[in-house]
Amino acid sequence: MIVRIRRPDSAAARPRPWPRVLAVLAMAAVLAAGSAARAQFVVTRPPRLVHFVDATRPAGATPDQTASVVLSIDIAADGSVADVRVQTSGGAEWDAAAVAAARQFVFEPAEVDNQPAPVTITYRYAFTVQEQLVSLGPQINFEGVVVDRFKKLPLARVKIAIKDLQVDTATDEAGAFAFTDLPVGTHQVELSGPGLVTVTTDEEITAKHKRTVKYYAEPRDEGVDDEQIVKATRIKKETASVSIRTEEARKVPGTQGDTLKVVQNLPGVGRSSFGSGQLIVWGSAPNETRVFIDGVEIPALYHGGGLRSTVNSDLVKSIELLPGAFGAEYGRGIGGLVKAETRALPRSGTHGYAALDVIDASALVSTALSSSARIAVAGRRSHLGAVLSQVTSEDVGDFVPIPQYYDGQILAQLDLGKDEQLELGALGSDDQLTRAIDASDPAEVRRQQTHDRYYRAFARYTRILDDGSSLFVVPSVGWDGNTTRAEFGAVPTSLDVGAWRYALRAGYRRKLAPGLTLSLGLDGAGQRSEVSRLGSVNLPPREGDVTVFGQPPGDQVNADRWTASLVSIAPYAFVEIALGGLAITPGLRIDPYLIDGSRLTPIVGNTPTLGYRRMAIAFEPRLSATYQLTRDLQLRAGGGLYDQPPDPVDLSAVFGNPTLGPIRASHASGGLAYRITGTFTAELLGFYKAIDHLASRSPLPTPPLAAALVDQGIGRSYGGQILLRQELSHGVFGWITYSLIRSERRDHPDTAWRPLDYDQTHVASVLASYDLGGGWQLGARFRYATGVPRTPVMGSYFDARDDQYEPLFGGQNTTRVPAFYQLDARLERTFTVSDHRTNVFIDVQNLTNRKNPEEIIYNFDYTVQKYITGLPTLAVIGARVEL
Amino acid sequence: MTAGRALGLVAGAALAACKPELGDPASLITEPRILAVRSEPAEIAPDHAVTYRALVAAPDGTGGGPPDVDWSFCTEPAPLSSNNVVNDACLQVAAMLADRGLEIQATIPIDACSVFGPTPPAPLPGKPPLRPHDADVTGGYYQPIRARAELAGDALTPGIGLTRITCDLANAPIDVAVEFRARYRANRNPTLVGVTALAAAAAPNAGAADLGAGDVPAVLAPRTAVSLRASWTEDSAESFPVFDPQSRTLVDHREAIRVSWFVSAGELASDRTGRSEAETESFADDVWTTPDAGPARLWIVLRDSRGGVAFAGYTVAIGR
Repeated sequence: MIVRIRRPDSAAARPRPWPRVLAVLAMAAVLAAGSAARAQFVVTRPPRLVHFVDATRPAGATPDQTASVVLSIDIAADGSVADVRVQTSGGAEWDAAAVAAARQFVFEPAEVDNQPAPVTITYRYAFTVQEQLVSLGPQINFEGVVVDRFKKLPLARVKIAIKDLQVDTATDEAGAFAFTDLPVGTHQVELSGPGLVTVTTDEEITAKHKRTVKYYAEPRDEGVDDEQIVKATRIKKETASVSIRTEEARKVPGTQGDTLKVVQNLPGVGRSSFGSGQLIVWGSAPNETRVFIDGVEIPALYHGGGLRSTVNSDLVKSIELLPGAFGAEYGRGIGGLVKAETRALPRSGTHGYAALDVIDASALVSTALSSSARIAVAGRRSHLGAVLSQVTSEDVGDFVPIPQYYDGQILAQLDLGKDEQLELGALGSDDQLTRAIDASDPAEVRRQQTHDRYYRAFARYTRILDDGSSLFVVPSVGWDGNTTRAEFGAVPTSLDVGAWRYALRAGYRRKLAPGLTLSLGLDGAGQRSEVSRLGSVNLPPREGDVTVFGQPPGDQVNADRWTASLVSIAPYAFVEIALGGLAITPGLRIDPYLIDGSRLTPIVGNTPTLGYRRMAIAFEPRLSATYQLTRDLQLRAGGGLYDQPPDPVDLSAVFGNPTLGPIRASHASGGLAYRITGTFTAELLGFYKAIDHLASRSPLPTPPLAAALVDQGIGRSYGGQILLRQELSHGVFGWITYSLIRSERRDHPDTAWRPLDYDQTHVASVLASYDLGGGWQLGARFRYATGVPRTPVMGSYFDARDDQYEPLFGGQNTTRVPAFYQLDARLERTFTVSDHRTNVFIDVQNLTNRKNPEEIIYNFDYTVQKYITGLPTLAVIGARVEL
Repeated sequence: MTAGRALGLVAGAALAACKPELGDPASLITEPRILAVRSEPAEIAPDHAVTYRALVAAPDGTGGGPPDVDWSFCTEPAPLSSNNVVNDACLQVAAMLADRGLEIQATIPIDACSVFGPTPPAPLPGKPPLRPHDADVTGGYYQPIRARAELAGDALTPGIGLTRITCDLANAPIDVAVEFRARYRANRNPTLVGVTALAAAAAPNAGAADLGAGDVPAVLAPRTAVSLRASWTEDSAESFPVFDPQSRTLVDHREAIRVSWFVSAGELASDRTGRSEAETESFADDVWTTPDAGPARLWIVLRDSRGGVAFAGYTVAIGR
């Protein structure tokens, strides 16, 4: 589309002679004459051309023809041209034109011995091509193309506005745009569009030149509306957050192309224990970090063993980690946040992929049902167990859990209107793990079966209103199931948890004034859990349990069956205030918890059960601030109060404590971000977390009834992190992270501080990926992590009833598993086969075959200590074909 | 667009076992050890007398004299949060008994069901009631006793014996408690019939030899895989009712029998064998690869799932 405008100044189109002749004055003849007469005369001033006449190009000469004629010009003492002769011809017609013009020249006379005198000079008349602006009507003098920053695909229907002239246009299907006859000067250009980050930039339009640009647009995150943002840098409301695009994440070595696994490599994230896939963020226990997909909480980001994420990577646009000190929109977790956002489905055609590797097989199909409706279906199923059974030793399953899993997603997106969209989604994930160790001794038979699954159905309505404000509503419903069955000899353990989950998340955001934006929201959630448990109080284990790997649980058993309901409807509000380079976001969240349980005390005889209901209200102020100290240096700080409701499993009258309340925490962080180049940044951040009302086991041999757990625990974690990050540019991306974190707990007032079971003082990772060209991509990752704390065994005694030795422990968590470090590499090639984009990769973990200690193991009487080591070199080869 | 197609390519994943070698197995006696503590009777009510006997094994025998053993009752239960069978403090502080030696007599403390059982002490005024101790999977509660042994001046790793004590049911409905009292029979120690060397594994028709028959030790060939069979009386695996806390009813169980095997030399295929609750056979087998030379010693400890114990030791000559 061409937009014509009226120019205030039409000088640029003023007609000028064509072709213009450039004259070159040569003084060779003068110098030669001076030399010849040196004995008698001296040229004290050469002649100077004061009136030039353009030669008329010969008739029939084409505009691009050139010629050069060397003339000999006699200049009279008064400066006039007395005679002109041709010394070197440029062609008869050119010679005549040059002579005719030269005869009309006027000179300032030359001086000989300081007196005007006639002279002869040699003059080269050059006929050259001269650029000339002519008025041929409106001209494009600013054009360009807009492409997706990461996919490098053209973006259509992107609005390009020249703010100071109040004109705009939009990109066509090829992502191209153009403006005609923009006035010379600096103009403010704004790019905007549904699903894009609105950006502004300045462009300089100069006379006689057409400005051609290429804009890389970035898909917009939730909650960012048409707010003016400078130089494509979004305002960061969060003090500490790292966002990774799927296009980068998929290429990270060690992730086998799974976007969401990249979280494990981000700053502030500890290494998950062997085969667990747990998220340890800023020294928080895994159950303190929350995971959201499009604002819907899911209980697990990864399948069992951490092998794969529970949501298909191709449905995910980006993933963001907020390790703490986050804003008021989120709560009910005292650790970090992981937010993943689904991508916009293609608006035309049918797309998808099928992939297969050693671990699992997956496929996705998306299609545009109409111009305004799109749907995608994805699924995945593991087959690692079948593969390993062919290539590994028989007892690997004793030590390496090999999960079986599958997941599926359905996503439908409907355009209800301009900037108005409805998304319907369904997520499901299922994990099963079965292990059995037979033995000739019935007491040594081990059986374990776990079955974890979740299902979610949700709708997500988003709209950007005409006044620039935005709103979203996300209702969801789901069910979580966790089943654990274990037998240690004759000692049974079972835990069944089934929970219905309901949630409603809604928000409205509006710019009240320049630099002032208000957000209001409601975050409601409810769950009703039915729990049944049988077995030892100490199984499943908790953070803080003192035990050693492989130690059987106590054989004292009990049972309980209870229900617990947790309801919270939390309103929140925050204001974004921009004052020059300072951006402040104060917020407040109020989380009122209604806790309802079926049993306050254990069953005694035939006495009826007594339920309970209580309310707890948490006021949670939050604050974050950034200050743009220089164009590239930003200071950041943030903090707030946070809380987390009790786990329904902990509300047992037999195994826990029905009176437990929310856990409280306060976060504070501060640091800086420095943009070294356009795509290379450095971030430095320090933080402190304090926690209280942590549930921990009663230390008493005979605790009060219904008080196996007490909420006397406190905790703290503190440290800092560094991130040096090269975003995807010229085929290269990567980052270097280092985190120094100390996380400690004190379970009871009379006990000493101890390291958290998951504490890792030093965690570092270096990764890079490079586009080799020709479809080849090579990447490498190096990781280092301090070993997790363990409680040393100082001795043992013999349990003569059970024929086993029991450990005598030293100080809790006063020793550690040795440090972990590992090098991984990934090589992939992307090519096209019959119009299908095909990707083949090899992902090699533990390239150096280092035997990383993962856990401490003892012999039967605890006199010999060894380590269980992690996997040796493991090559995962896979292929992926896109439709 | 055409329909999707999958390209499968699977590469081998090289996985090796990650379990380290941990040295000698539990069944190889390389230094003096307490192998068992037996109380007779196996189950008794508080304030009743019981006889304790320890089995101490040494690779070269205890020819220098019997070990000196002192005995102490533990006085504190293990914390609820502990997986250990007794409070670690029992290794330091315990109520020492007057008698010493491999076998002593003692009286179960009168408060055993309160300290270790289902009847916790009355709460202090204004305080909530205390939690009863959970029973083990067989419904039992136990009085722990510590045995510390010295042999030739060297202290052995302490052993903890547990005597099953007869207490009331915790939290059971009255009718269930009445039925339990009517049906429950206190545990008795199992009876070990003997150990037989069935045959060399390589020569299964060579005949059987009773290791305990006569004063002359049995002779087994060196470096030979010998099948051993421990037998017990059929009434050793008793049936008993258990109050199931989940269903809150009585559930009938049968004792499992475990056999712990120990040798001073050679190698056993299994440290322990046995029969589960569902298996009615009254024997369990193991395979012993005999040493190069003898004599060698073999110890057998029989345990039922309610804490009953029987044991025996044998000396075997190694030769042709």
